[in-house]
Amino acid sequence: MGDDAQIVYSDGRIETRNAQSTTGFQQVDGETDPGTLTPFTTQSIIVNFNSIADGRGFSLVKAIRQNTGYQGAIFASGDINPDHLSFAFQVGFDAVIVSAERWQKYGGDSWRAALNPAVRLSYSQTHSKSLQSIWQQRHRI
Amino acid sequence: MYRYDELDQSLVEQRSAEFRSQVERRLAGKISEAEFKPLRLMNGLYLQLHAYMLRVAIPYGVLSSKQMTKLADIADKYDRGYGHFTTRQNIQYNWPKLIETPDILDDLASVQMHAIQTSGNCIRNVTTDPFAGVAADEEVDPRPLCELLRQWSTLHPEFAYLPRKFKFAVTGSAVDRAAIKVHDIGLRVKSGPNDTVLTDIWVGGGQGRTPKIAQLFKANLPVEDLLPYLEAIMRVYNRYGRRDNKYKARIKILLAETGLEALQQQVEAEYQSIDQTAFSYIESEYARIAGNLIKPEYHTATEAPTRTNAEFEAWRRQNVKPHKQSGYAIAVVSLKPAGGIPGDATSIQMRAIADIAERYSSSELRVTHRQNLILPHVLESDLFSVWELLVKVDLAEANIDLPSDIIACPGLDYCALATARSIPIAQSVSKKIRATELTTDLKGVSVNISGCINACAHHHVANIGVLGLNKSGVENYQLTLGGRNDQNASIGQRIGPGVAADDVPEAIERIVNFYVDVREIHESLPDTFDRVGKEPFREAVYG
Ligand code: SF4
Repeated sequence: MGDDAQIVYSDGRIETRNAQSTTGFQQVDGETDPGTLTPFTTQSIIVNFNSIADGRGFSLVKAIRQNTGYQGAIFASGDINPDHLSFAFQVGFDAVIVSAERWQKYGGDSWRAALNPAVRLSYSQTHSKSLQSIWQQRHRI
Repeated sequence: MYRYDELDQSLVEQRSAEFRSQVERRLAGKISEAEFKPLRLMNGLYLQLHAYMLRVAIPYGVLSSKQMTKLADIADKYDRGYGHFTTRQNIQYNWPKLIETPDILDDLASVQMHAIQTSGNCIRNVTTDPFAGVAADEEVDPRPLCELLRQWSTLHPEFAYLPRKFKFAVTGSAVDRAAIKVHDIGLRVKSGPNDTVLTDIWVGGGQGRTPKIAQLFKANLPVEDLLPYLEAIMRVYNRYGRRDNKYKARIKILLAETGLEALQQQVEAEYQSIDQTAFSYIESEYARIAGNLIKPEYHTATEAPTRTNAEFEAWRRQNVKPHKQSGYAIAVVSLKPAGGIPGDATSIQMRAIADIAERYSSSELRVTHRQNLILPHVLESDLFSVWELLVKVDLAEANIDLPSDIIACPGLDYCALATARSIPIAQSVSKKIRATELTTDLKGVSVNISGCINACAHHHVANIGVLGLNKSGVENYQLTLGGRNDQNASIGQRIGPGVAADDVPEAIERIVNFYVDVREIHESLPDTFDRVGKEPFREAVYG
């Protein structure tokens, strides 16, 4: 594996990519003010979480699609650990890019286990296939 | 009270399973304490001075007899036979073992309870008027909205890593018993035309080192528009709230630095950008919750109350409040025996009150912001029997709304952040003041004692506030006067230098005596303070 990053997709696929293969993806900081977003020209965007203590990146993904009309893939990267995977997919990230270092630190088992989360319900709407919205289910919309 | 459906239940069980796996990874050494910390804090588990502390949510302070019995069982099985009820209407266990916390959560889940978001930089357990749904003066029952907020905020992915913790309080009465103006967001539910429900949103109240009274941010918003509007406020706060200094990270500081109008504009703009269709079910969900509240069956009294005695009458005068259903009463059960630890209850007391509630209060109980318990639906003709049973377990102290009904935080006896003790101070103050209040009318005078500037006991908005500090290694207690936490909320003012621990009871006694001497008829302590000013009070204490 060496320096290869692992890309964990919301549909459960895990893909090994060498670190260079994400060059050309447009990088956006998780802390970016959505009001300052300009239209994107690439087909892949990476939202980088500098620290998980700052959850703004979880709101940004919606804003990117809404404010700029962007329809390509959006990846999360940075300070994400297996316990945050479910939130990332819930808000609409297509995949999380896990650095070789992070992959190793938590162990492949933990990352794979996180694709099958214990919590499979959320109240509000969700983009994740492993989560079901309680409100949608109750009100059949 | 709200009854879980299968989905609510499953979510709580799943969350408990998730936490079990996190604890297992910690115990196996797969994650460090530094990595575990944010995970445990999402679930109410703190590392305190001597041990872990688990904070269990009692959403908006409502619980059933069965739940209270379970809390007693947990106190016996995993703790030292007692629990501590907090100003946030929660219960804390002070001595659980890490390895057993997943079992505690499973036990809680078995009675529709959890510890979700009782700590961490997220939306915390929502609090409300402890008399919700039964107060004689209530305009709208706030519980359906509280439950809607509980669901909305539970594991909300966008608001799990905010700049700081975030607290909501809700009231449905003009008389505010939920202290909504000292919360990050306070909501006042009101009835609108044609049976609609409207909300006023107050933003930016808070305590801690920079106490603030909330400002009216949005008036008369229909309840079905509330969640997208709150989502807009939360996003703007998350976006612009300060992360460089944790003491400036609450929304009260953002509001002060941005200005009301500018912040309102930012929120309006965000609100306009929110996809409203995602919230189209709010109206029906609100109605579903309201319809799902278990309502007690009220009966007409069969017999007039006959038994009485002087002690019972004193308790009734002080602890019994008017109920909206005629023939019924709200009985407040004091957890403040003179010389006792405010908010503590033993497992024996918890079981006893659970039994009393089952027999006499439709199996329902409440926890109050002032750290007491409530039997919300008692037939007036049963009050004497209830009182007799309370006497047997030392829960019949007749001091509700009197100065000895002290709010105190855990302070240096437990809390890792404390600068001074608060429990022993509360004990000595209550012992002394109890004697005075038995002979002098001191109704409504509140005393709150915090063990550090974080102000968990809300000392800023107490009539008499006590703040424990540490001055070169010695505990020192600052006194503030004139605070209020009701609809006319105001921050108390410091009246002079701090006093030593041993001198606090005497200082409070002097304040109270001076107030009694100079008050006008029916004048509250803060009103007297406003009228006569700081100096004479200062003189009375230090003179
Ligand atoms: S006020 Fe301070 S000492 Fe008291 S509980 Fe809060 S943080 Fe701890």
